[in-house]
Amino acid sequence: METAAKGLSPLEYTTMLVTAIVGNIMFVWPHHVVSAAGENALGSIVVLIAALMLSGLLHHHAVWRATRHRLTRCLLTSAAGLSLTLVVGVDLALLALLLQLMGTLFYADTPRWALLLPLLGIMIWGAGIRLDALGRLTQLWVPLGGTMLAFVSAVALIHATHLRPLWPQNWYLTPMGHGIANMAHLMLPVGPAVVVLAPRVNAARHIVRRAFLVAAGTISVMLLTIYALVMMMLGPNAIVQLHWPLVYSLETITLDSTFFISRMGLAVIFLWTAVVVLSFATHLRLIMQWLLPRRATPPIWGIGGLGLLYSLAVVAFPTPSSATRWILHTLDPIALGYLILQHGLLAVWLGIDSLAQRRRQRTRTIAPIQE
Amino acid sequence: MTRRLRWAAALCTALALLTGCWDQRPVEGRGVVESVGVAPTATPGVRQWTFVFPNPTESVSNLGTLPPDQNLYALAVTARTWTTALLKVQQQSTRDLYFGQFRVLVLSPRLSASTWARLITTFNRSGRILKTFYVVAGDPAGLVAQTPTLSEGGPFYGLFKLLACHCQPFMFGQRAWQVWDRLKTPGVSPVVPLIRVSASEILENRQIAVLGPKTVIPWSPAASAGWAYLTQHVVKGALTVTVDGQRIGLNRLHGSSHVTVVADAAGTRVVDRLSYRAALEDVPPTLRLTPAEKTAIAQAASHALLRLGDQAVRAAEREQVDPFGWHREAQWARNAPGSPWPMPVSWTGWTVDLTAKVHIANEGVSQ
Repeated sequence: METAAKGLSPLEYTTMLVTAIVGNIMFVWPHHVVSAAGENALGSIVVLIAALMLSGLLHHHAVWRATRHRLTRCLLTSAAGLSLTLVVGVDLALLALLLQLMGTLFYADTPRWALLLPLLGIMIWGAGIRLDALGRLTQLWVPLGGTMLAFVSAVALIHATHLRPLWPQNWYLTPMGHGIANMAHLMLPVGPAVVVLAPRVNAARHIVRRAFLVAAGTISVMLLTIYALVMMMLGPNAIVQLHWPLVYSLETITLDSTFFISRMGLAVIFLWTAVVVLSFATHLRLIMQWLLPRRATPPIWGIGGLGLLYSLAVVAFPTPSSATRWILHTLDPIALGYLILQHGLLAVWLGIDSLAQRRRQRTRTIAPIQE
Repeated sequence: MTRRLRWAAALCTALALLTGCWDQRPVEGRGVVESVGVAPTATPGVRQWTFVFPNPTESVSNLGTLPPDQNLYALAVTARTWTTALLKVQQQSTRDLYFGQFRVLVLSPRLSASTWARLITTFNRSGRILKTFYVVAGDPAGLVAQTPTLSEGGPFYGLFKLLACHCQPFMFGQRAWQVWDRLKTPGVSPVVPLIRVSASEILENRQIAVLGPKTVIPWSPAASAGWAYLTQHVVKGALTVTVDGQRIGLNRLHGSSHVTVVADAAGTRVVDRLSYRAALEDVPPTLRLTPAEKTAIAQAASHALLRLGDQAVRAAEREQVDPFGWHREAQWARNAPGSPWPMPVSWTGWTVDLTAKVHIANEGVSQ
């Protein structure tokens, strides 16, 4: 598990983490959290961001411990496998939602499978190249998508007039808790991404940890900005009625009274679709890396098989409502329970381990005096 | 080499498949719908739907020569629902109806509020229709949709320009997503401009209509102006005041309205501070404009502004609507759940405190 010859750079690691964790939820977010928490969603998001950072740091600690401790390595690898299985479940629903978004807003006459095929092709290609090449791809597209999103959001700010729901006078804990539960699926890729990628970064440990913190910071800024923008434009009551609140907000930006440009938001939607597809590719790649850790590029039958599994999304989720229901009512409760259990056990295990280590060290230092 | 050939073959296939030629429809095959007008008919439940299109004979070469009344053409059908209307119009048209350039939805204020809500929700739900078109109340709806403006020739649609030009005294125009957002948010009544056709067949944009719980309520021009001042929808307002028996005009009013909504056990209190700047140009030649006279004019203008605001608030109270969104603010401040429109708006226990200050910022070039 030590540094590989051709590993990732810290920046590639950062962008890969951003892609793997929030890449594919951008369009549907923040519908899930606002539907449960209403105006208290801000509290839920802040707690989630804190949890995300803690989870990442815990996993980094565990990964470095695992380099010299076989049992920790075993535990981590099995936990990552379980998380990845759940990630596939979330991905299927999110892929269905992406296809439905494209079919509803842009390609009304194109059959779903025709939309799926090129996406699947790019996903399989992205997952089939070397890890550092995929890292470089995310290093290109994440800043591009982020900059475009920031620019268009800044234009959309002229419509952001409702400051009140951003900071309510009363905070209610129960809906806030429900909001956190509804975002549990967001936490799933954190563990496996750190476990699989962190040992492959060509940098000192403190740099790797810093790269993760930069990724977590970027994710926080993105989530908070999108939340603020959508909330200030539409308010908590309208967001929950929309399948793709961010896309809807971007669709409202127009310069038709001055120029002929009427759909400025399209630029960011098309650009961000590249990041969404890369996100699926990164997940596929993480799975293959987990299954076959020693191979530089995964075998085509492996990613092809997984790609076929992903194409089930079209059949499994015929409507946006069914996909959203699957995430909220089936996967989120499982993910929440699993994540609490996994992190709890990992923390306890690392605690016991460090205690035992300390005791060993003490015995070692005391032993010569006794002799 | 075989590997390269395989790549080239895959690329060529992709290029051939992804051109979009298979299901393309050229622009001359499309009927670009500029606006739709919906009005009630004598039969209950049956509506008249007027679809307005740009004249297809209009081209770059004849843009300047085509008279304004030939810029548009309309197809009208009667139907109970939007779906049937769409079907009937398509059956009359040789072009594929296209909503990618949809500009204005004109609804008759005589239609019930629930019909309005239904149509706005339907148009918002459709992915094929842009969310940035305007929703207006038009009386009569069909005529408003197809009346061209004298000042606007092709390829512009006059009614759209009237709302989007940012040249009107008051910005009454509301985009569809804003109207829909208000429809889904408790404590705020959707507002749309009320467009009428004058006797000389010219479009007028002087009033607003407010979506009440059951009907659509047209507001008077004064109350509409009051709404614009209170909600900061003023581009270049104008006031005429009488000081010492002389009529004085103030132009280019613009400024801000600072609203605070405080809800507590005693009730809800709204404090709205209007602060507007104006140009003083239209004065009688005998007026010397001493500081005392200027103060008197500014005070009279402030009072006039307050009267307009007062008319708007009284109209809201009378009709039990809230086009200002103050109930929404109170609702959000309490962070309490509420059912969306048509949640009854109640002004019981509310105190509205209006203050206005008009500052004369420009006196013209001469004494």
